[in-house]
Amino acid sequence: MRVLVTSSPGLGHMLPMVSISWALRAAGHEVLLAMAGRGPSHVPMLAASGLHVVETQPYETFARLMDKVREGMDVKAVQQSIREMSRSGDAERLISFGVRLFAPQSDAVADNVVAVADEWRPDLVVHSPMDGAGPLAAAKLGVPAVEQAYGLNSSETRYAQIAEALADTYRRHGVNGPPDRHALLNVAPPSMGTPGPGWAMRYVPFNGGGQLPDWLLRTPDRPRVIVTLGTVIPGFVGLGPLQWLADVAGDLDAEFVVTLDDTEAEQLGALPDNVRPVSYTPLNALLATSAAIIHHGGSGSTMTSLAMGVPQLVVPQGADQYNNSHEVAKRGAGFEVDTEVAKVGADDLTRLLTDASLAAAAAEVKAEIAAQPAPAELVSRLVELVG
Amino acid sequence: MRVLVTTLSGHGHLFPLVTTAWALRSAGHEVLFATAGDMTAVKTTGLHSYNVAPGLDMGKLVGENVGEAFRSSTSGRGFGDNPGGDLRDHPAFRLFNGLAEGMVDGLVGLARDWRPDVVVYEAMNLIGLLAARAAGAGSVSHAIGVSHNKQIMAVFGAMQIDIFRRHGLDELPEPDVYLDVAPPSMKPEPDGWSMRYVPYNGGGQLPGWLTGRPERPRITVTLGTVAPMMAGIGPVERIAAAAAKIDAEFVVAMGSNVDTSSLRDLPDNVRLVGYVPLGPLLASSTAVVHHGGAGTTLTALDAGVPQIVVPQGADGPVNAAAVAAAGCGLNVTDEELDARLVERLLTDGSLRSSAARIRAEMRAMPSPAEVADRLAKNFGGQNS
Repeated sequence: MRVLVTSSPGLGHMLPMVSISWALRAAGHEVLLAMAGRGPSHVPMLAASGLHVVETQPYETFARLMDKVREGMDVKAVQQSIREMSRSGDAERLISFGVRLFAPQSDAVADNVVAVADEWRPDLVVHSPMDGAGPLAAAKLGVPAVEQAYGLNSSETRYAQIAEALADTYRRHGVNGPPDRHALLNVAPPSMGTPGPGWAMRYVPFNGGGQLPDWLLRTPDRPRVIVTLGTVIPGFVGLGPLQWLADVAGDLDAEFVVTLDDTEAEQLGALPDNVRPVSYTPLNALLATSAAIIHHGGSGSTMTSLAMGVPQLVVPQGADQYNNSHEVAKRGAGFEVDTEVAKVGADDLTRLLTDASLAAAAAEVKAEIAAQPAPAELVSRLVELVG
Repeated sequence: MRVLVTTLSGHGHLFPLVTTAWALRSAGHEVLFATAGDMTAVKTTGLHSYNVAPGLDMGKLVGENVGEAFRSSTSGRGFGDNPGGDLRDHPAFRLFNGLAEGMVDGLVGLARDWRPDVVVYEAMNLIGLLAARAAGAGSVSHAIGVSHNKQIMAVFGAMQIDIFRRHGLDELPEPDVYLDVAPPSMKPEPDGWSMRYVPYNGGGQLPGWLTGRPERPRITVTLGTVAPMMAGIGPVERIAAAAAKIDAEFVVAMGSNVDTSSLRDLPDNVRLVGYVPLGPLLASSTAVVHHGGAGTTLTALDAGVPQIVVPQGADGPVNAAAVAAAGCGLNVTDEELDARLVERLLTDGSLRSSAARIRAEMRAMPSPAEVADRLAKNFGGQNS
């Protein structure tokens, strides 16, 4: 069969679509990605997954769109309300908030996604959670749509919510509501988030390919700790959440590997000898020989760390990061430092490396995830859905 | 489980193992792709890769030997022609032995460090057997063409026996599994496990014209990545000269390093494009004219389009003969290639029906995903 894969712009949305795409291709199906990036590196990085990609909008479109969205918005107040929703564990409200926030981005690619679908005639559309253009194209062609989750929380009502938030866009294409047949690939581990709805699927991280250096293949003499703020946060809030690397990391008997390029690393000032900045390296490869991770709580970083069974210290900065951080702490696989009111200190780092309960919970979740059916095993269900 | 995949870095050697690697990864296994020399092709497969011989001057080694090695097969000194003779002065020996010598220590060292459960090696990259042995892992020989069989591998093995001796083996060990990608009607008795060839020809952004259907029948013309450097672009020049007489659109897909200065003043129905993934290109095509590379031949078989094969060297003649014998294409020399033959490619119903039959045959073979599952059951142990 032919499968069109769509996503909201941004690497955190795009990259989690790769594992299921590889699974489909390896089972002999044709796969085409129709996506747009939010930065100049996004579509090239996606294309470097080896899959075939059609770009649905230049990335500049989304910078303009975000500026417009922010114009009428009190960003601080919005962040605050996201934090409250996350702390209270109200995933359903968070999702409907996200759906509305992402609707203009779906609208911006909708016409082009529909045009690609009209021409390429897929039998199935697989899309990222916030994307409304893929479900629209599926509804228009009368083929099923499948949501590929990227994180811990999913909702039964998402398709209806998306159709409502994009009602004008759908109408423009003569579509009245969600596709009749749809499914959800839910990657939440059984003990976290909302594992209930949809089909459970093992989270198989795709963090980009790349050539691995020698030192990464060997378990180091001292415990290795990975430090990352992902691809979005440094641009939004700067490197403040990493200042502790210069201040206290030198006191610890551990090796800190931080994903920053040289110019970014310089901004932190003189770094101790046990801090090693590395340019882009796939996170799952970094974690394979590491003892712990400190990250911003992005879904990709959170899920990859869970899948690799590594204890996490999360320093959330926005969006769904508060929710992820809350879920990780609740499960005991890590803990949170709120960088608005506190700094990451030596005692936090010691706890991360020595608290055996964190490592035990992380290992449990890793085993839970590994026991879920892999993307390759879900392909036959997708084929059945198409009928 | 942990799977070490290893190939030479040339497109023709590396591409055919990518779908298998994806199958393993999307089934949740750890996959590391080990190669050496030019790391460009592996960089855009999305896989984690490792350079086993960073110091190896692959360009020099290839440059000094590939021309003669490539052409030798058409001059009566093919790899498989004379298994009994002394092959040490054969240019192919110098090339492949040099590559194996350059890669073997790094590959074996990697296998010791990374401890794979199984090593999947491209059939010609026989040092994968030594990596498997060093790690106590299973070994899988992965064919990359319809004509790659045990006999040819035995010849390669004989050529590299000194490397195996140095590692304490008097003869080439047998792999635990052979993966054979030849369609059943082209090779009724497979070597080992039969696997559907699901083409990977490089990913990337597709131009808009490639996702729709063309108005006139589209004929793709390609000589692959190596042949134009070795043997020139004679077949393309002949197509260009004949094209104006044929009611079809010709897409000539040439790598970026090819000298195309002889293709000026092309007729309106010939479109010269740079690198385009062959799979999507053939999905929009009615027929293909090519040089007989293993990957190109199999991608054309998978697409179910009739082919004219104009062998240019290496394994081209063997693949061309196999295509002609299967009835889905024509095996012709540069000089024979003309408008009449290209017309026949569009109109000969028996070529088309044979191509469709082989395509259907291939689709009935176990997919890489199914083979990955079988590999996990055989080699994954507790961690499968």
